[in-house]
Amino acid sequence: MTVAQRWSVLQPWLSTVVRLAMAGILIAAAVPKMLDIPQSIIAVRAYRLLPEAIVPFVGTMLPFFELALAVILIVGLFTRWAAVAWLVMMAGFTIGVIWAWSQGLSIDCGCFGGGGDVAEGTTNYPLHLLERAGFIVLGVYLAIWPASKFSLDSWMSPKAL
Amino acid sequence: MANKKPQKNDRAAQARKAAQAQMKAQERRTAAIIGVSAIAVVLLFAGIVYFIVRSADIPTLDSDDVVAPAAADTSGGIPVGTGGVAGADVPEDAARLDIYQDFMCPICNQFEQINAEDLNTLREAGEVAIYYHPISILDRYSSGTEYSTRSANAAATIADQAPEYFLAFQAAMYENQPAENTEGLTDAQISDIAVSVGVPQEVADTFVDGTFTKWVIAATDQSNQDGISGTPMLRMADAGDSFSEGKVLDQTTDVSYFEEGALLAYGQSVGAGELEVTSATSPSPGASE
Repeated sequence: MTVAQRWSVLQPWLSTVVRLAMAGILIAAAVPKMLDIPQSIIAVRAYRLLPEAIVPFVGTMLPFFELALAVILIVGLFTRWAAVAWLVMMAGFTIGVIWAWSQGLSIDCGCFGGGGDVAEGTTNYPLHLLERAGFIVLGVYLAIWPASKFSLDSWMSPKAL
Repeated sequence: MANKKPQKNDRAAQARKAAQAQMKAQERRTAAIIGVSAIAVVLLFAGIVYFIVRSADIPTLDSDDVVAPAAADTSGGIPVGTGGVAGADVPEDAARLDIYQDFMCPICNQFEQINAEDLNTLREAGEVAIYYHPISILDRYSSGTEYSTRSANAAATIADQAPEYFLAFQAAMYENQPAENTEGLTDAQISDIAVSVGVPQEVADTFVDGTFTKWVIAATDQSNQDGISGTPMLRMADAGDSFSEGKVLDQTTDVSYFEEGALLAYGQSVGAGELEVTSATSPSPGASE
């Protein structure tokens, strides 16, 4: 087996793992927010990045959007576009974290629920950014190699695999 | 013989079968796309519906159905004037200090112990108008009894009906502060505390009605929009400036208000115009306008 052959066997499986991992991350992010929407709004507001007029809407819709994207990733439909949507979202969050850091705000990212302002010294921006970077790597991988096992994409056009 | 069909028919059947299979595949494809898109759309739609329902649920301070205490201003603050009476003799054109507290919050109690007397001194001098914001951000720490909201409603009721006892009630509530993650004080206990500082029984009896509960919820939401993310927190505005021109006080860059006397000294300097709140370099994220 050549390297290319091995890759062509491995890639769909790796893509499957990445796809499902991303879905899992989204669910882990969405559920706590959905259970406490007011807190989600407070977390969005704490970034002091968006105008107050849209803060409650963004805070409310964010977990629903995350969950919808998770469903699409789980079934593996339009995988490439789902990965792009993920990347757009991550870009937004990353900008938020960098913004908060650069402004010296003491906030919790609220990525997995919670969030809002916290006591000074308990923020961990480098770790958050590292986490973001990891998530972005996942998204980029899936955008480049969206073909995966157990997906509606492959079920609809078996030739692509 | 019977099962030996002519080849031509066989081929046609195969073609038909292939075409049918292709159509079926196409149908499955369409069904899958429709199905998944429907789930996603339903989810987003549920979010929008929830958002609309919830926005109708959360009152704002200017909602028609929100009853505010007579003394309260548009930021949800209850001013206490030079004579110690809520809403009376509030110095005009003075600097203003806004104090945000939750009756369930232990460090608000600490803040109260450290600063209550100094705040009286500051208030009586008349150079700083002091506004109290009884807000409810810690309802989740009272085992479902919403002690923060109930006690803030009681404070609002007193500000409205028996304003001369507002400060005394506040002090007594901190003296009797329940621990977090307990059920807090009952309505009857809160009433008793109120009566013990002089609030008329008939006023204390109305706490259970929750007349100002919506106002408390609205004022709490407003406080978050004004940069208040915890309790106790302070906002201050220079003399002549409006509330929104002021800013949230930072413990490191402005005044370390858990140090004995620090808030008094800071308040006196700002009140006398020797120091400007807004001159400090830290950003004023709370300004919502």
